[in-house]
Amino acid sequence: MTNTTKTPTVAAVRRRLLSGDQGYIVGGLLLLIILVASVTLDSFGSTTNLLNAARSASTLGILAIGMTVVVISRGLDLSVVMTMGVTSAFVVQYVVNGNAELAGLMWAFVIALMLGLVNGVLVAYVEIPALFVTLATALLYLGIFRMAYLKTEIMTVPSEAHFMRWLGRDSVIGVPNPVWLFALSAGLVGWLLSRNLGRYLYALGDNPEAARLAGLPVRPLTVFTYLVSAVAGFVGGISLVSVSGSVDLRTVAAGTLLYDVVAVVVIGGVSLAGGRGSIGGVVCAALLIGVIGNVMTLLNFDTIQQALAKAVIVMFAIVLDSVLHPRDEETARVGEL
Amino acid sequence: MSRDAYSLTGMGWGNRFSFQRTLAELLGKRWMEAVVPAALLIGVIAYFGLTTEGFFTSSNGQTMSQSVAELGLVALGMTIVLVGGGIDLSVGAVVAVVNSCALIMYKQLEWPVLVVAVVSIGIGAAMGGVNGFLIAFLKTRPFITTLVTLLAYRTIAEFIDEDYSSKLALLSRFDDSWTFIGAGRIAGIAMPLVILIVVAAVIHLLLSRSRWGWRVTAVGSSRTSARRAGMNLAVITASTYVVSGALAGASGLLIASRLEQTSARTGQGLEFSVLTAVVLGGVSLAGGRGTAMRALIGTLVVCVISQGLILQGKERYLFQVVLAIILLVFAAIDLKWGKNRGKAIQKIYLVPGRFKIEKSPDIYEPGSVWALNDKLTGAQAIGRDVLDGPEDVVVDRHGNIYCGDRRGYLWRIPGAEGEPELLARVGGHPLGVAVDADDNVLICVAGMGMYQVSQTGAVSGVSTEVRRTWYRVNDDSAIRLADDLDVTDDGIVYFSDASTRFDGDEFFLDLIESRPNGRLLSYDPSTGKTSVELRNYAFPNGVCISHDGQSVLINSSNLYRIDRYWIKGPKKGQLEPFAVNLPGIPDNINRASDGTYWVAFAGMRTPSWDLACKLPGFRRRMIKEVPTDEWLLPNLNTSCVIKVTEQGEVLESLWDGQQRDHAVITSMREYDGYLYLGGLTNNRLGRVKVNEVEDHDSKQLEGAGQR
Amino acid sequence: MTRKIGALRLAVWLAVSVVAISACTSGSGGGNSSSSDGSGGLPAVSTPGKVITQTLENVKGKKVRMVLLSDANALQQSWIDRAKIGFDESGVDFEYTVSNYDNQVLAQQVQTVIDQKADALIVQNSDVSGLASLIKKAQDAGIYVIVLNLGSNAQSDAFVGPNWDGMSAKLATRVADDCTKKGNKEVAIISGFGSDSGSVLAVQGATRVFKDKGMKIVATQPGQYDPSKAGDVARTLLQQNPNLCAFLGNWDGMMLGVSKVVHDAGKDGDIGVYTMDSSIGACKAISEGTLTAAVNYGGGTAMGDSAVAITQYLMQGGVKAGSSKTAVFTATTIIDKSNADEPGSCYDTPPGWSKK
Repeated sequence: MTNTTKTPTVAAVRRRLLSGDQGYIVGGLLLLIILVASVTLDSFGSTTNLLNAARSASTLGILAIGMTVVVISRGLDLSVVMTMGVTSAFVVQYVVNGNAELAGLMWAFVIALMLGLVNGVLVAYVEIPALFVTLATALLYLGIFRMAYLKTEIMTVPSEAHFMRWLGRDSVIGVPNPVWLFALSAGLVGWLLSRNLGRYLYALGDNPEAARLAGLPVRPLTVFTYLVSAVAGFVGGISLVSVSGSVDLRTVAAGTLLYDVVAVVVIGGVSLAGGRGSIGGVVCAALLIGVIGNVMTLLNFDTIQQALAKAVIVMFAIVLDSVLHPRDEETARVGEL
Repeated sequence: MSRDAYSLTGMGWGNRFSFQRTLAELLGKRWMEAVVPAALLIGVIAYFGLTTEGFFTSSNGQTMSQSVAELGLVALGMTIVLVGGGIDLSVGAVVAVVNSCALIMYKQLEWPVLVVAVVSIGIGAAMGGVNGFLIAFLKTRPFITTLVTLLAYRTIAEFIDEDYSSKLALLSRFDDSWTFIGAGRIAGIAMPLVILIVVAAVIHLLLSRSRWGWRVTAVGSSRTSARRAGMNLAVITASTYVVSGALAGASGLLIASRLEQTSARTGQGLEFSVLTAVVLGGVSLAGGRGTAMRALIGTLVVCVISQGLILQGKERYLFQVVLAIILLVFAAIDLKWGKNRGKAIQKIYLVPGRFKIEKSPDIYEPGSVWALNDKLTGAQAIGRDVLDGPEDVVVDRHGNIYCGDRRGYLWRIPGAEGEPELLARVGGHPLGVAVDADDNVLICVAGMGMYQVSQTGAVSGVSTEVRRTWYRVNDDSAIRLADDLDVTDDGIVYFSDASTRFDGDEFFLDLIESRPNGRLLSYDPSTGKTSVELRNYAFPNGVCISHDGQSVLINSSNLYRIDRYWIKGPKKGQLEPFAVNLPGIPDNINRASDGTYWVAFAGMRTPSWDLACKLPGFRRRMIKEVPTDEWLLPNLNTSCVIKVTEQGEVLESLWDGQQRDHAVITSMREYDGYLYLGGLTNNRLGRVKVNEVEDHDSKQLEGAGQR
Repeated sequence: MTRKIGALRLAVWLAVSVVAISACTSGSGGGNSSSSDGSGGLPAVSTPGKVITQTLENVKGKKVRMVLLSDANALQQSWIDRAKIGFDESGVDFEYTVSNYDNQVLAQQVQTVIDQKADALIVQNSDVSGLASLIKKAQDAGIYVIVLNLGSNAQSDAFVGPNWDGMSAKLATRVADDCTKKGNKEVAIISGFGSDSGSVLAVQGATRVFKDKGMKIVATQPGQYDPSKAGDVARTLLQQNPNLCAFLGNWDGMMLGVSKVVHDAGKDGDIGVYTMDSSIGACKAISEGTLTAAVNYGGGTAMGDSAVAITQYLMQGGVKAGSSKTAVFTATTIIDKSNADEPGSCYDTPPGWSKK
């Protein structure tokens, strides 16, 4: 009995390995780095450090999971980090203004949906390339929220925000809450991608025209992916703000988080050409980036060296991706991925 | 000079103009794409000028000219990259790095200013070269690649800033030529602006006049075609990024000289402003389209908005929001318009008009000249299934028959019993055929103009364009639908251009539109000049010099009439009716041997189409709502040939009662007692005996000077 | 302790008035008497009522423009708030703009103020050598330039802000004393942009004191006046220097990011975090024990008031723009656990703050 149930799994793993599923390579790489670092770096192997690495990777991971859904459908959401920034800043400002935290979270969720909807409609119905839409809306969202609601760029999470304080500081069964949130998001989206809806998204990313001719509701599906991404931005933002205890829009606007998200997605084996990739690979990649960041800090890389190293890693991933999944240059246009 | 034939339509002045038609014609113009941004520019200038104090001052102009130059240089670089089918988001970071490097070279290393300038631009070009290498040679995606190099370059800028900013802040060096770069003036114009203008001129020449520029455009328009044309895509693509980097470097140099301040934040968000500027100016994101001028217009709009909002003391975030909205709107317009432009223009291009048309004469009246007969039935077929669509037919003095073919051929048939031989491949459908005194065949070719074919088959253009009417939006210098011609004894060729708005294969659209879009042209071989004789003539079709050579007879297919236009004698230049309110659609007209004229009716009028002619709204709905193959059209299935006297009186009609072999008759020629029949959609020519008497004069009916 | 704060405020006002008076005398000493040409100033003898009328008459409708790096912090918000109230009450036309730390925009905004022919420009400068030519240009155009908080190489009509060097030395002395007690000599300095006068002078003052006291400066790095950036810098420094004793920085908004990193590393108290400026966040952090000490240099309302005062003075005095160069230094007090809870130790976002 055990044999009959196991054999297909083993076969599937072998098939995926042979077909070069990047998720497995990344997973292996992750284990390798963890092993090497635990042996060579004293402070690395401790449970606290590993949990810290996982915690710092969780926000990135949550954002990357949302982005994965978009990229699988051959889109890209450059506004996800700003969606994260404005929704989390909204919650903090809302509570600072003396309102209930729960209501703030619910409003922020609704706002995230609306921002995602704007992106989705502009991409799917107005047919502006996703890159231009999200590049513009990122600035649009920041500008609107800064002018209309947020009083400052940097705010501390007030003590009245009990949920966020709990989320950021406590842990369940020894695992920090943000890591749980990350796992939960990964599980949910992973499950989603394995259902019919998920297959539709893969079909859409693999060949949008074929998907349309096959009768898939291409436009609503596209809108859906941006909604997922925006919600991921909201959840990731709450996680980040809870952990750091403050929200800093200046860093969000000028920071490198977006590049990390793109890097995680691409390294995780989700091709920018669409239609490929798995949540497993992305989770491994998020942890990998988290661990690499952790190792670099332990190796005394300063922030600038870290940023440069990250840029090189992302560039390498993109070059690799374009070698593994070349796009049709003859018909490619700017704004298409 | 030309005579206006508009009054023949029976409509007043108001009907001459159509807003929709003008709009459609305007939208078809390439330069219209620059009108929207230019209008926006005027709009924002007017808005800020009216609402903002101190906008129209010379000092404000000076202030703006600096930012215009700094943004404009980068925008020009972005334009080149976009034209080449790429995109460069790293420009802002390049500006920051070069700004810092230039200051280090100037203040700390104390290099000569010229060296600093050259090296600065070189550093920019090198950074652009990295982008180019990754994108062109490693085949990565431009958008994401330059997004990542943006991060990398920004990090380098921060690194430099961290190490040098406090040192540089305390150093000072004064050099007149250094300050001159950023704040000098030449003839009252700020130096940065002078640099921008010079660079823009160079870029304009490069893009529009140089081999490199054409290749960049080719690569951006279609990589496949460019590759097949043997271009080295990688090198060309990479070179665009190098230029973009160098221009960003120049911008960084200007900023360095003006602000003398290192900051990793220099140029932050610049890529966004630049992208907005060029897209707004009409540089296409889809590649292959863009000019230096458009980049500058876009830059000006962005700078005016930026400066206007600063003057109003508005928050900087508002500027971002405005930019984002503009970028979204114009990207949508650019891509949507680029995709649907043709469709949109086509939808509104055809604007049905109206003619005043009399009730058709009753052709069913017993005993009338219109009584159906079988005079053309059983016509001898010539070149059956070899010919395809011989619209016009002519027989020269040697008995050779010439006719066109819709495949773009000109046939010569040596006598009625001979086999058709291909005289020439013209390239367009010959609609009118005539022979001149030297036995050269003159043809009117749809979409091409009037051409000459020698007996050896050599084709040469005779008259292919006229002087453009200055007040028309549509360029009417080309002869779009040359239809029929005839030659006077002096060798002057009169020919009709049936429509200035529709091409040969769409001639029925002109009929549906029912507006006088045609004209009568004349070509004088002694001067080589083509001039317009009659304008605003409704679908001029057949043209025939009268027997006395004093006038030209013209058929109007759309108004069912024949007009006489005097070309000699006391009435020269006058237009008078010859035969009006005919019951059919007159196509070609030719001289008969007995001093009368043969006229071919391509089809008979129907009450339904006569009614439709009076109802433009009906036709408008029809073309919008009904598929093309179900449109109501003028009847072109029941044809006949009629004989008309010099006074315009119809003497007789000749029919093919069976409607089988000659469903459409669009032309006929009399030669040696026979009538030769041609038809636009027929697969043969026809020959029937119309004259029992062997009349040698009739041999000389055709050909200039042969009358 | 309340008295201490009261003294602090008094000191600020004294400093302002003393300098104002001295500047006034130097102005009239130069023979540029304003009352004589009727362009400003008050008559030698008059009733208090007439003084009010005359003064208001003199400044009414004058255009004052303030150009700041940001308006997202209590620091700038306090300045704006005080300036709005102060200028509005005397009928001065006041407006402000912010550059969001963008040098190009800052320069453009200053240039615009010159174009608009304002009467006075109050500017927060992000770079000691930047804006130099623009400040000169503004003065040539007859605009009084008051540089606020961060100074410039080019001499403005007035500088209002702390004596960064002296303040930094004062704080560094405190750091050195604390560290000596702990028996640890390693300190790190985190400056702002690195090229602004606050950073340059604070680094200069602290470095001098640390050298004198035999401390070891392990690093001097800019934190871009950004808590996250400074936090990143601090995190790396912590890793690299396990024996670090203290961080010294020149702005609390930025150093709170550092204190958070220290807190997260579980080294509250082991590693001191010392900062200049004292917004409410600093006092809170001191009370919570994550921040060791801050310097109150009148960064909020007091500096705003001083700027208003000297601007009013310049506009009334009739001194030609660019002819008198004055610096007004605010008084400084070190805030630590002992006085962090005192009212007035720290300033908050002005009540009812809203933009414009």
